[in-house]
Amino acid sequence: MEKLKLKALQIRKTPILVPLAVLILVLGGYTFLQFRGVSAASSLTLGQQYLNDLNYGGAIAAFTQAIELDPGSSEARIGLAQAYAGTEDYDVARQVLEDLVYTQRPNEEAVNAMVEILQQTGQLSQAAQLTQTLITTTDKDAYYAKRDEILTQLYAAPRSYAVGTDQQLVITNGQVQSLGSNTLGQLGTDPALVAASENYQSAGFPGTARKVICVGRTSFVVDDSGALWAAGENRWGQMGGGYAVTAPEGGWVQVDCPGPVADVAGTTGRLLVLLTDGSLWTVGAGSGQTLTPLTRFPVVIQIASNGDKAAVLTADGALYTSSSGTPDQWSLYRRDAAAFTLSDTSLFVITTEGRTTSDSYYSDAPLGWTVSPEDGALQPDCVVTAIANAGSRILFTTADGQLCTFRSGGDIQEVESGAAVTTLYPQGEVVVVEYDDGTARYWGEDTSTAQVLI
Amino acid sequence: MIWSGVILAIGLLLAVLAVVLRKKLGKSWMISGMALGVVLAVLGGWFLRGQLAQAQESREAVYLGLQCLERYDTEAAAFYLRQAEDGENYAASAATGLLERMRGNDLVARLNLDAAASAAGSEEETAFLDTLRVLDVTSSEHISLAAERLAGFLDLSAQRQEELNRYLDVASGSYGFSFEEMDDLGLDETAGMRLQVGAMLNSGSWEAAVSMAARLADEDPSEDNRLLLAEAVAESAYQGIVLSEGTFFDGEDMEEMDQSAQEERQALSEERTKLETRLMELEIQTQGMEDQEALGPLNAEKVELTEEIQELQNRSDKLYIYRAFSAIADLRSLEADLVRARLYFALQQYDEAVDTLRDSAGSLRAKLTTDREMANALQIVENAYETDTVFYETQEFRDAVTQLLTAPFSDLMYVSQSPLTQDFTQQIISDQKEYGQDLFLSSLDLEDFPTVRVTLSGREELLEQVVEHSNVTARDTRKEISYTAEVTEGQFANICVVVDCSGSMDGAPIENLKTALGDFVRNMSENTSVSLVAFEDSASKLTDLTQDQALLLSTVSDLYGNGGTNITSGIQAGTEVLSQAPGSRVMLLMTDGQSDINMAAVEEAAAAGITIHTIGFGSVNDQLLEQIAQGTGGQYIRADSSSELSNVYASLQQVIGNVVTLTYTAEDMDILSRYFFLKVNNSSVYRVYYLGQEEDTAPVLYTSSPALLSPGSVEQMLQRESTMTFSLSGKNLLGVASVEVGGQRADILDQRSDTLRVSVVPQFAAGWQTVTLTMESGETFSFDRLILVGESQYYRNLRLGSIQIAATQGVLPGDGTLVLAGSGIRLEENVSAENSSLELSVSGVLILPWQQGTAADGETAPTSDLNLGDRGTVTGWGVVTLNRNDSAYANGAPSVVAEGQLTLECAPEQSQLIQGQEGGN
Repeated sequence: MEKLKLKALQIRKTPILVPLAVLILVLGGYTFLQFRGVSAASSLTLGQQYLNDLNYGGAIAAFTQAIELDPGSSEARIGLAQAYAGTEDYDVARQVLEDLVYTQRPNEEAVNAMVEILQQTGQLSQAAQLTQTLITTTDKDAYYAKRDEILTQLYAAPRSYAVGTDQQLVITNGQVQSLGSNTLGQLGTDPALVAASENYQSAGFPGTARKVICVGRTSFVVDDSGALWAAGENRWGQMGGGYAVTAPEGGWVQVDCPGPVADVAGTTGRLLVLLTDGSLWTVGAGSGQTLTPLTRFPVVIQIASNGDKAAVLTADGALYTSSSGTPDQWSLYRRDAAAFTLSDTSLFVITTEGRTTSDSYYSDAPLGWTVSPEDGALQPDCVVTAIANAGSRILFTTADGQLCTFRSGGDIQEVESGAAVTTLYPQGEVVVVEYDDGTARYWGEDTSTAQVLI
Repeated sequence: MIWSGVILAIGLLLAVLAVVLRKKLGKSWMISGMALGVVLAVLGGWFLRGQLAQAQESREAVYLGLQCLERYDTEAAAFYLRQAEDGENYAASAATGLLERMRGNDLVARLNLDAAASAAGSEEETAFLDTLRVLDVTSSEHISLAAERLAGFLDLSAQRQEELNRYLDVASGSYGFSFEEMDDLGLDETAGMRLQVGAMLNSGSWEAAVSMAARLADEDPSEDNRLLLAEAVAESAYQGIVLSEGTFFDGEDMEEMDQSAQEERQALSEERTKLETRLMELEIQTQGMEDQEALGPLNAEKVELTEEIQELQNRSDKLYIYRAFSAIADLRSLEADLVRARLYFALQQYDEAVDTLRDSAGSLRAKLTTDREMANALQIVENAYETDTVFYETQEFRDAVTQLLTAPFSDLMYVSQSPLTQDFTQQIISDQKEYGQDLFLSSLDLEDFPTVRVTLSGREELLEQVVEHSNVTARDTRKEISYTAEVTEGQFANICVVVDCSGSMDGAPIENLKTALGDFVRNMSENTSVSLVAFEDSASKLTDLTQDQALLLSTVSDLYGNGGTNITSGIQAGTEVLSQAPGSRVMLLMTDGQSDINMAAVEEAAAAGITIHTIGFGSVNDQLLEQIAQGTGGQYIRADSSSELSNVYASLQQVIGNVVTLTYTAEDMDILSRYFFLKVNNSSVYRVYYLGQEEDTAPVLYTSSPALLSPGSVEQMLQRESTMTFSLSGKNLLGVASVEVGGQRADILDQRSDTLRVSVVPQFAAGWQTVTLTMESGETFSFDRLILVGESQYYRNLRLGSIQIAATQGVLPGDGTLVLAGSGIRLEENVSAENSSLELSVSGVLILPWQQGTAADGETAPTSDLNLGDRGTVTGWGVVTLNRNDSAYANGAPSVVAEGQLTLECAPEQSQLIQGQEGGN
């Protein structure tokens, strides 16, 4: 009897206990969900998932929320940048990473991500600078290799046209041609035979040329093996042979350099030679008749010059200038330079913040751009990767590969071309644009369309 | 919301099924099923209702935010938009995007608009975002239209919108209100009174606000209202308002007013008077006292008394803040913690304020609270203080901190914009900022290379790790190095604080400076002495190096801003103070302006072993200040404003005097371009150095005038007992201590970096006269091709190879050479009659090969043109410059072609000019 009563009790408990358990489960589950809410970690995980699935829109929303929930999360910022890079909105990607990168203790992963973005958008100079930052903060071998890889890309930019004091050089199909005065042999030919030439003629260069540069009345060619050749004026011994010549002579002399040459610049009497390892060497006025290293600039990204001034951009973003009259004296021009061009009249700098400044060119801002009231710098509404002037005409390239032009006070016009721009640089009174199909064109102040070089 | 709906639906379904299937289930199961179904349905409905209400609140918050945007009140808009729910809300994200565009935060705006795009539920919503991206935020019409359009997406009735508009008017204090109106808005009396307190605080009616809050707390002593009272007290005190008892008394009979506060003030005043009397006694006692040992404890007592007096005064002025602490001491919620933190901040006890927040973040309350937003916000602040990350100057972090600090008063817009909140937020942000480097390289000594000695300065704990090789990576030119390191211990630190007291510092900057220096002095260690120098048009030493904190504090308190900016004078005065001090010598140079700086003053400081750390804010010349620091082994710190000076000086205080010398042996000595790298935790130093090139500081002489002397003229001078004056030109001549010419000691008449004018008794034999320079260090440099005594010959033109040399004076020393000297030697070479390819001038000496009977016919006078042959080598010493007629001439080009040792290899077709070394010949 007792057993039956007990069994009856047991059976009657079940209809109570089961619903109670369900109720507790439901309440507990709901409380847990409310309690947990949305956390930064969960948003981060969701964002990563979206990234893996290439759902960039979802990733952007998730990472944005993660940042709101945890503003200090570097993973969220990096993820957000990667999401924007995935949509090819590199400008926003870059801005998202800036706070992690341009700081006293840059985040290694963020810097790496930024370097990738900069390489994608052709901002090789900045990419090299950031890689240098990784080197100075970690000294990891991998970053040396990365820097060298970027510098190789940077230095490979062609230079098919050069203007000197009274001569011009151009490369066509790897061969050098020259025109102008040949009083000192600067055309590469014998001055006794050719005193001057109004038209382009063969410069007698024996090899295949990759770059031509003129420094005063001395002409230089970097050939495809990285060797440096010179012709013309050598009064200061700037051809690095250990002597200065007195009478003019024709022909090309190889300059004895300690390594492959990336670029050459200088002012009358003084030569600067940038090697592919980033070291800068000098010879001539102020330094002697043999190449000596300019040790104050350990790693150099870019050099350029006009008749009066030479400029050096180092891997840590410092831009130095020196004038032709005092070649051994360098002064710091800017600490935040990402890239620059130097025409006969103006030094244009693109800062690490993406602004453009000039030492002598002042312009009303084109539509969409703004002018800084403090220093007159122009803030573009796009990412400018290179900018130069031909008189009052400005040409610039953008991160999405567009070539544009405007004149002071005028509107920006996009320049259509079939091929992608490889490099843009000023020479003499023009700006030269070289394309990846091997062609080159130039713009003058008054030319409304691009002109073929030769 | 979905889960709530599911629970509701399941509940209803269960209840229905229980009834429908009652025969199969049986009575007990039917009843329990129905009961469960009903309970679940009720719960689900309740949850859903709550969530719908939350969603409604969120939409209303967005609406209020949009209205604030229309009024261009971005901070108020931020306050309301932060209260909107999660980021999956299209309208909230879009509105936030618009807000950030108006604030000029384009990136944050872009992120929010993109987030809104993924939450958009229709093409219309997506299209509208494109409008938001490009609309003109300076146009009130555009903003108004955009806000109106966004409000349309919120599904609020026109009546509700009207009510919210009215609510906003009241909350912002732009409209008075009545309690009847509050009723219409659905607000009870308490809510209305709270709004009124907020409006009063907004309009600066501090006492009235405190009074109202006190009345509210009396009538309804809920936690929220008690916290509101404490907040009102904090806001008032932060504005410098000294609250009186009357503020808290609501009655008519003044005798009934609580007198306890007055009594407490009286007691504090009496205590203060006692301390001031004792302080005065000490001042009299220590006046003129020289016994340092006895003076020490008395000075310490003076400092203590000064601070106690200040503390008592503070306590009296801010009595009600202390009472507010007591009034909420029993409250144990996160909201109460936040209010306590605000009270500490109002008392300017910043450390305690931050500690309160951090303690709250780590408390059990924070872990168990259902208010995950608040818990999350606390964790954000805690993470900021815990980690090394240095990018907290973002809008997101600022908003998160502001939201946290105002969390207890989510109904009061004023609190989010109050100076207390803004300053507290800024304090937390500034605390994350790093000032200067916590590890830096002061010097790299290569004198005994390959042994390299590196001097590191920085935070004590980092340097200890370096000594212990704990988590340290050390490399030299891509190779790991093994090093020994020792700490310079027990060294007395002498610090001269040089501050800019020019006119631009007047006002807040000088007050911030005083605060910063006051903290600096109070935190100075026992083996430190400090001197204070101020500069404006000139510098004044305000105190000698002293450990008397009271004296320093008193001097600091008298600083004021007036006059110009002469940084050089400050450096010079600081050098004077420190140059004889034993122990380490550090100068902290602070300026907010620009002036020319004589780098010789910096070099002098460096030579005296003084490390200069520079601090700049405002319109300073960053490059120059950095140069000063680098030139003396210090570091440059750039502050955004004077309000950061306290953190800057505190940061420097952590690194001054901590020095480690690290020694190692470098490998691969054939690599000339090298670097040193060291990393400790996340701090690193990287310094490039180069072997094989010494700085060009050695003196060089290139020319002498006169360079050629005839024996006759020398004899005449000796007979007349006259001295002969020589002008010597070269470089790096400032360090020359004495000069000898031809073995005779010369007197230095004039000395510059590139010229020396000397006079000497010309007891010269024939031949070359060696000129010897002796430096201050005792090192000597000799030059024996500057001055020649011999019979002069005069030649017009000499030809050797392709070169024609035009000179006026020469000497045949009888050794097979012809020496030409002076400043008029010309080298020419003509390619053709029309083209002069070469024209150089030589100042100095040229030595040509000369054979007896060189003249063409043996009879030609020496003044004729001479052909010395087709080939030959000319040596020389001096400077070769380019003339205008040379075909290489260019305007602005360097005129010097070669200097020092010269060699001219002459040949018929072409000659070569070779420049040799520059050193003593």
